[in-house]
Amino acid sequence: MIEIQNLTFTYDTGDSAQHPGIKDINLSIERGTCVLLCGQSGCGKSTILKSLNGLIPHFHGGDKSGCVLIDGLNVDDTPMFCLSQKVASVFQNPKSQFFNVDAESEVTFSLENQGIAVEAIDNLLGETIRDLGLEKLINKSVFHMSGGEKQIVAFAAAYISTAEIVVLDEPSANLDADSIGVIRGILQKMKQNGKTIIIAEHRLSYLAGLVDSAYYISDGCITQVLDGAELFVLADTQRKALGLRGLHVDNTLDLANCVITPNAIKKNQLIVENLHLAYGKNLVCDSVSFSADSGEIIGITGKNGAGKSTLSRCLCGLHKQKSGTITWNGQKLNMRQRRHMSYIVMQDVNHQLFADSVLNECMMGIDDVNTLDATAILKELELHEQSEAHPQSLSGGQKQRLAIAVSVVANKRLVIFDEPTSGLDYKSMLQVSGLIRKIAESGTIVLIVTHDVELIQSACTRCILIGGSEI
Amino acid sequence: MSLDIRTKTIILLLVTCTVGIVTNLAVEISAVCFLAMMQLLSGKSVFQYRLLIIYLALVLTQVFLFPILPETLVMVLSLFVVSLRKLFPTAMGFVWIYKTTKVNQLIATLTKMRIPKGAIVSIAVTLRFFPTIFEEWGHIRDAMRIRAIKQKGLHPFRNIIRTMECYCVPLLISATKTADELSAAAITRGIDNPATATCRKYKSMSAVDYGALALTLILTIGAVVA
Repeated sequence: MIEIQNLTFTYDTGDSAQHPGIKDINLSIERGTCVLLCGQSGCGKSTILKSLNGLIPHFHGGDKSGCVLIDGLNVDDTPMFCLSQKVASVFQNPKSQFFNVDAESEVTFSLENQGIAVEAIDNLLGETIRDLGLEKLINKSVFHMSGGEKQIVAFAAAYISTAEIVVLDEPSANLDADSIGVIRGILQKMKQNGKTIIIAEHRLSYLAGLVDSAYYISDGCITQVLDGAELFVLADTQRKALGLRGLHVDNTLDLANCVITPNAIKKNQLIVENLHLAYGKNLVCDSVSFSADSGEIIGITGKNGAGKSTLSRCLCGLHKQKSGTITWNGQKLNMRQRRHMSYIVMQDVNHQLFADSVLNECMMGIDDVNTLDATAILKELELHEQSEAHPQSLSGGQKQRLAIAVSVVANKRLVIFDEPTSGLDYKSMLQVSGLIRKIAESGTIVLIVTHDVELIQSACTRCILIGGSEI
Repeated sequence: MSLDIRTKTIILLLVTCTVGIVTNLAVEISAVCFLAMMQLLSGKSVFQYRLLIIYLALVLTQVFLFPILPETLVMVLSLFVVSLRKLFPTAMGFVWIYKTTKVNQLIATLTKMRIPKGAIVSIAVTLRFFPTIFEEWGHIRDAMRIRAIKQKGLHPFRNIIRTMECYCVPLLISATKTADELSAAAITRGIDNPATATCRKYKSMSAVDYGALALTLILTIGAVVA
């Protein structure tokens, strides 16, 4: 039984854009139920979860009033290690929640910390492997796992733990449809075993039938309470007004819905023929062929680990192909030429912002650009007011727009987006999609590597399935 | 062959000290060969043939090229070649230990050795941190390669400084973020539990450990005496 009473919290950092607080939250959650927290990015969902698993107040400092009671225990007065036996957590980023280097140790990690006897741990581990069908995964090293597999292991770690409550913060953000199917199965088993599940999520369709009640949060307050059945029969217009993602699984990739037709002027053409990609002896991708004309927006999708990132790295001249050719307007391109004309907007844009101000970032390393041109491009992307700010002080969306601005200033003809909408709500997704279309209109070829079906439907002219055939 | 973390640490210490005390090229080469053998015995993925080739190149440069090169050039080069070469035994030892030690095994052994919990947690977090940082480094390098970072007309030295700056800023930012997320994940799994952790993967010192230690000790004494 969880009881949240008049909970208000603001972070120390004072930056309310990146660290939203919550105001006067009252909630009570019965044992064994599944509760969904939904709402737009930055509405305070994660903050509520963090005050349940104890990261607030034990890890993040800030102003807190009101209290959170878990089985009558006040979170404020309970040390983290006691809370960890009551509440298990799964986070959004599979990369940084893995503490061990192999799956087995990771799954048993919380039990080992409690000092449970070896035989008992081995029994629990055996049961978990059987229940969740982890036989293949359990001995794999972290360095050979795809993001989806890592997230499944994180779920298994929550499943095995003695904790009665499981708290999940956007666990599906970077996963393909198959992995999402697996984690749905695990959630179902958790619920059958009587665990209380509290999940904050943008992607809702896979939770249909699991959620008992849903709380819609806006600006740090609960503004609407729905029961699970009500949520999943919301009309599309209502759902979009709330800024929520699609409620039903749509794996068919019905591209008849794609209203966008490619720009008629075919200035440039990229042709990829029989591309074989490999890391050392491990073949990643086999005979990929496709062509793209300027103005086209092509979605590249496929399972986690199917070679989507390797393909995009290869197209940009960052990875050498085993065999096959990439031609641009009839001319074969080598790695260097590809690097010169292409650009990736990375999933973590922090990796590609280097300069000390937004304007300098745009002009960095480019000789024949004047400040006026760069400013005009920044204005186009609504960044001109921040032109003197430090790139790292921008919000996530602004950083992404800045990375795009860099590609426009540098006159890149091929721009690849790597998961541009992971963890974004409906409105932000539409904004990104609009932006991508704008770039394509100027004649750039755009490729989007993504699992986000809604993004593909709203932005792409067609879609390529890696590890399968072209659609 | 899998050795206990304690055995490996002692071997590394012995080898490093010997090479430090006995400044003899033959001893150093045997030390490198010994560690390469240890790497090979621990598994193919642990063995770093690239390190061995670089080492060989450095030794050959020193033995065959230095006598025929002009003296001033040797002066400049030797600073680089000799000091880098001397680091090799230690570096190879570290690679060997790093590649063969699992975090939970390390925690188990340190716990059995009654090392304070605080120290164990910091060591474990630090070790786990490196692979993540290497991964981030790769992403940043990619990002830099698709953008012209170097500026024409800028002094080459200034360009190097600039490149370094470009690595450091994003790396520091993501390192802080990663460290934060890793620690949050660790404490929600009760890493700070004062109870003695279960040493599930703990193995006590075996005959192989004592054998390897004895062998190293004999070799060390041999090297020092000779």
